[in-house]
Amino acid sequence: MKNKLNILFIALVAGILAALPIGTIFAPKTDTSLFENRTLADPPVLTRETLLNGEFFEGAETWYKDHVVLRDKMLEACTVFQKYMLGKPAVNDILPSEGSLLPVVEPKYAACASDEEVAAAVEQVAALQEAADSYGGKIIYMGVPGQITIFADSYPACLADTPAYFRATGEKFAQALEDAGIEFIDGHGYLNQDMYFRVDHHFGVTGGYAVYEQLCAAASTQAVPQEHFSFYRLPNPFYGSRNRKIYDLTSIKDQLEVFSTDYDLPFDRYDNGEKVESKTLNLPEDEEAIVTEDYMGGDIAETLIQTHRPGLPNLLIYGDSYTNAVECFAYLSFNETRALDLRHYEEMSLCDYVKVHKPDFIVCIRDDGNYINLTGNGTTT
Amino acid sequence: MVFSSMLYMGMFIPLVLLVYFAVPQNQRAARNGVLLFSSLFFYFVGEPKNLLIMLASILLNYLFALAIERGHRRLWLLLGVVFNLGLLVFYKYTDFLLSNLNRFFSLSLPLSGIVMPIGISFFTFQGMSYVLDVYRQRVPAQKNILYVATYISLFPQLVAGPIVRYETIADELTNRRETLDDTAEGLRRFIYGLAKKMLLANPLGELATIIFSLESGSRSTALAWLGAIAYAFQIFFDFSGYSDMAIGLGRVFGFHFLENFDYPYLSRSITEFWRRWHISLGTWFRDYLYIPLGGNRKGLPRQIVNLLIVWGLTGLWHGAKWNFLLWGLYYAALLIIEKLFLKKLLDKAPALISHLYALLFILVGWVIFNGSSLSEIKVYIGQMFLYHPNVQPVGNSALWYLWQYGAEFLLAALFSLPVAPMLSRRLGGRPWYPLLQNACALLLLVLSLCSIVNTSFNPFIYFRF
Repeated sequence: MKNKLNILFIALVAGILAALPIGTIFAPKTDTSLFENRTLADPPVLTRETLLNGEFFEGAETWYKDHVVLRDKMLEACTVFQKYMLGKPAVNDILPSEGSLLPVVEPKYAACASDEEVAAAVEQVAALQEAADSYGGKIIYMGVPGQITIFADSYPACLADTPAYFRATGEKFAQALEDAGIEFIDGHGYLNQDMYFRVDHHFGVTGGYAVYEQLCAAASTQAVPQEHFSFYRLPNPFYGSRNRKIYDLTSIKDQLEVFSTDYDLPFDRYDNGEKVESKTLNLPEDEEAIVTEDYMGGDIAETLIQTHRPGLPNLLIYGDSYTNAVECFAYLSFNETRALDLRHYEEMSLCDYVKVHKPDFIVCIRDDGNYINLTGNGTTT
Repeated sequence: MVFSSMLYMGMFIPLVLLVYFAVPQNQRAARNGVLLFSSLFFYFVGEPKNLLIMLASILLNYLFALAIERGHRRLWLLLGVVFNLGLLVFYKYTDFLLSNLNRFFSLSLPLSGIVMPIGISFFTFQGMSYVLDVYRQRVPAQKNILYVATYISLFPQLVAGPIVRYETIADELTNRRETLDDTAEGLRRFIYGLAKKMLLANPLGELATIIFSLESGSRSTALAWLGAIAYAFQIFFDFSGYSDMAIGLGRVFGFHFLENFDYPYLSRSITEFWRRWHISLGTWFRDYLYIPLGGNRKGLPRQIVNLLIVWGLTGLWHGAKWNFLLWGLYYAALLIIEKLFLKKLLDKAPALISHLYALLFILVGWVIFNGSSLSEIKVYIGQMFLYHPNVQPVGNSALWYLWQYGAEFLLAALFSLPVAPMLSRRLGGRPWYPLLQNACALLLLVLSLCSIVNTSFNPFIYFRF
């Protein structure tokens, strides 16, 4: 009996280990990971140099981990193990709480950002103001709540310091902008939790529309009234930035919010200088899973929308992915709308860009978790 | 290559096992050839450029041992020891020595930038023990260099121990028998080790890394303790997990390596801790340094000096940094105090008191071990004991980390105790127990493999030694 059990055990272990390379060789290949939202590793290149400096084997390890047979199932198993067997409150840095999937926040050990950090961030916006002043442009900083602060009350008490830190930093930053003569509109005044996704860190198009209305008011231009839009949710499975990270394994689900409109405005759209189809939403054609890249096609370095109405002002929006839902509407009230994402745009600095294109309004849309972040859209010079 | 990698688990191991067991059992030389070739390839994957160093170590230790048997025994022994220590000092301590010469004598000697070959501390100690054992006539010099090469490069224990002495496996190199029982038991042991590493050491290591890298003003007293405990569990499950994997794999191939850990956190004194922790290193230093220095046979003052030498070197063996030396001397001091009077008191004290005493000093020891600088160690220990001016006793983050990592802490505490032997004693006779044992091992294997694919945090602490 013992021998039989031993043989069975050895055979099963050998089978599992052998299944990895054999299955990987014969399994269908893919080059992207939907759940991780990234491109999978390429096979390593074998040269004398890469062999001797260790790069080849390092690359082989990465490639193998990325392409191993049943990889998604293995990652899901890890998530299930941590969530349901170990009972961890957060898995893969995602904390399910009160109907939302929240990011685990890094503990903060101060009440808010330091004066120096805030001053450095304001200095960048002030430099942009100076560039705009040279031709009479105006800057509007539209701060929007990040998921951490809009759902602050959903965090457990032991993590509550971090949302409070971001709120306090936001107030300090707003005051410093005001002191520098820059208009700041705080999204906490008009955005609410219902406008945000439960499985993604962004707001949907109702949130985008709300920001658009505020933007138009600040720019003294007419917003297209809300009755022209009909907001609804697509039935397709929706993989946002949060449920993707935990393989959509919780009961917390959401659908992508989109809109239809009877307001017909022809426009030309250019992405990174290339003319593209004149649309703002990429609606799926069937029941395929969808992601927030469906707003404006996701984060693009430079987008230009021309409506050929020279009587209206020109607009430049810059910021992180929170701009995408706003861009879906902003062009409706401006002659020319440019959108830059400085995480990807590298041709020139924002200050130089402004001097070249001279937009009447320059609108920064950033979430309050990033006000003092000087990387990407935090640097204008 | 580390054991907890996809290339190892999903390519190397299946291939080696397949080829090894495809060779008939009576073809011992061929099976050893498979082991030798795999071991050299294993090392080449991790250290392509340094394979030659290991090959040189094998060749010279082989020649020194042969020469010792032929005459001028002391001379060849001396040369053998100088060669092995020279190799270790050159690759491991050159820049440490140069930077300290620069520091203390205001020199500006350029640093060499020498990169330490993985596992050099282990394979030089194995090579040295072989030469010493031949000198002491405990074993005859091996005439076939391939056996010496197989012994020194044997991949299960090549890069992180345990330090296997030649005398332990001399007979098995030429005359062993792989059995079904040994293979199954070895695989189970290997899987338990892998699970210790992937499911306990890595997550707790993540937490320890977060806490140790916090700015000093951000670390509450509770957080400082949590970090120290997390690190204590990380290093135990990391290293003992690796030893389990090595011992288990050795057993699959028919070798019986000696145990390297014996539930060290059960200790009731530091003396006992060092009988239970990294046993192969402790006994190596005892047999090849402490006893030849005179041990405790030449009076108390000499014994104290011997302890300081042995533990200073034990500390430095772990790395070319002052904190390792301090760590070694810290243990020397504790061992001396215990030898002078404390051990007798501890033996009489209630078990709870002596356990707490040992755990407290072990934890402080790990802070010294893991500190990045002497000043940081001072601040960290200060934060643990609440006398640092900027420190708060409890912070929200400590509560969060305890919640998030609570399951791992509980499991780590549980498996620091001899749970498996106890279960085996109590349930071993039940007919379903072997089935349960195998099912658990298979589940742990699958979970560990999933973790390997999932994790980006997969350091191995003893690799750097």
